[in-house]
Amino acid sequence: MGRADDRGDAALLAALSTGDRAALRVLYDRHATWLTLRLTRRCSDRDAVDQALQDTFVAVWRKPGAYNGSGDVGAWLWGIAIRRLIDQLRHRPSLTAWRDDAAVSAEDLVLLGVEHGPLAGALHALSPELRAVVQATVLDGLTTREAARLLGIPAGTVKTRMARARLQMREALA
Amino acid sequence: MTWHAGTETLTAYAANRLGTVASASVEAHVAACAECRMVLHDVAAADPLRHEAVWDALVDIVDQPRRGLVERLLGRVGVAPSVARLLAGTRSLRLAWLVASAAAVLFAVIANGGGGRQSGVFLFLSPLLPLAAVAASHAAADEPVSELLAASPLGRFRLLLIRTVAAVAASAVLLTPTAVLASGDIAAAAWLLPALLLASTTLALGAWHPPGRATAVLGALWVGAAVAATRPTRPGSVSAALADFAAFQPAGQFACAVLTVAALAVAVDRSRVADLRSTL
Repeated sequence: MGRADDRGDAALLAALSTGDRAALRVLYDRHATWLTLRLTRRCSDRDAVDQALQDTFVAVWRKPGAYNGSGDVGAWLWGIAIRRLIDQLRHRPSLTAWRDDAAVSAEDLVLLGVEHGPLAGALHALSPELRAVVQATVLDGLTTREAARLLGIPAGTVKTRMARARLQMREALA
Repeated sequence: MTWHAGTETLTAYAANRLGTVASASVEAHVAACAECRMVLHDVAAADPLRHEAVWDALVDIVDQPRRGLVERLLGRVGVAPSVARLLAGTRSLRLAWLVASAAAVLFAVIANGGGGRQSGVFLFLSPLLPLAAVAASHAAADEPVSELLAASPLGRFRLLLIRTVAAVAASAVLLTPTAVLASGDIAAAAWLLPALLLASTTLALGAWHPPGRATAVLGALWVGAAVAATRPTRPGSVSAALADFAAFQPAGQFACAVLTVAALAVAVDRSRVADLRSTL
């Protein structure tokens, strides 16, 4: 963990453009774990996740200037990582695997405030298929095509499921 | 940031015990909160071997030199990566390209001539250009690739072949359309076969002589033959050049093609012998 280096993420990115390998190491140590966890929830294939993580930091090393300076570096990294994962899935189409954790224990529900809100209830009321589409498009910020590739379904299906989910949530929240 | 996910929540998330909605909430927060990322890192107890393995693989890629534009374009048209690196890394080959482009422009001017008078001189000069390019691509001894090759397993003949093909292709691609367009005569492409003959003879002679000397001698022979064939009384138009010089006529073209194949056969045969000798 890059605690020894107290430079901020944005400063590290700036250092990358001067070829600072140590900065890449710190950045990797800081972000690899949570990115791996989050990617693993989208795809259970270990190799695909590792490859996506690797590709992410190679992309960061080659084009650190792609970060526009606004917003959190973490969110920017995730944007790269999820797309690299989708690239992996495109190469290995058999791998599309969305881990759905429909079985939620009672104590889990208490953990976050969001669980009590009407939005959470509305999300939970969705079928796993619809929820996966909402998660990919709304929460991960993917386009219809990217979400389709991630979930291993046609783009048209993503659109119809998203429309159905929207309708169902609107009714639940009304 | 004042709100944090809390160790318990993060532990549950890392263990994949958290529901979809709660997980989404954690993920959104963790992407923006360095503090929770650190907590998550600690509770996740990620496999250090896996962490290092990905890092090592990533460093391997980062350490590789990036392929330049020329190299990527060559790769796009199906040139093997090692050959593309060789061609892109050879500075004198770029010189050959430059010379060929400059000559193409010059020949276009000559061919159109001053005051509308066409000149066939470029037809005699064109075959010399690939030859000059071959010589130039072998001349520079101080370029980085030369040093690399001194220690490379690539045979000397193969290197000669790659460079010759690159040099001839460069001049052919640039000069043929120029010659045909400038003279308005498709027959102006007739210089190509003599050019191939000269280049392949360089390869064949490469078994015995350094390419520099071979190209000089062949160039002199070509110029001599061209001067002898041109009649000073006739104006040097394209059609006159095509009519006067045997190498530009159908029989001569055929002979050039046959001799090119023969020269290549000799070159391949000699290179086999040379390779055999070097392995003994």
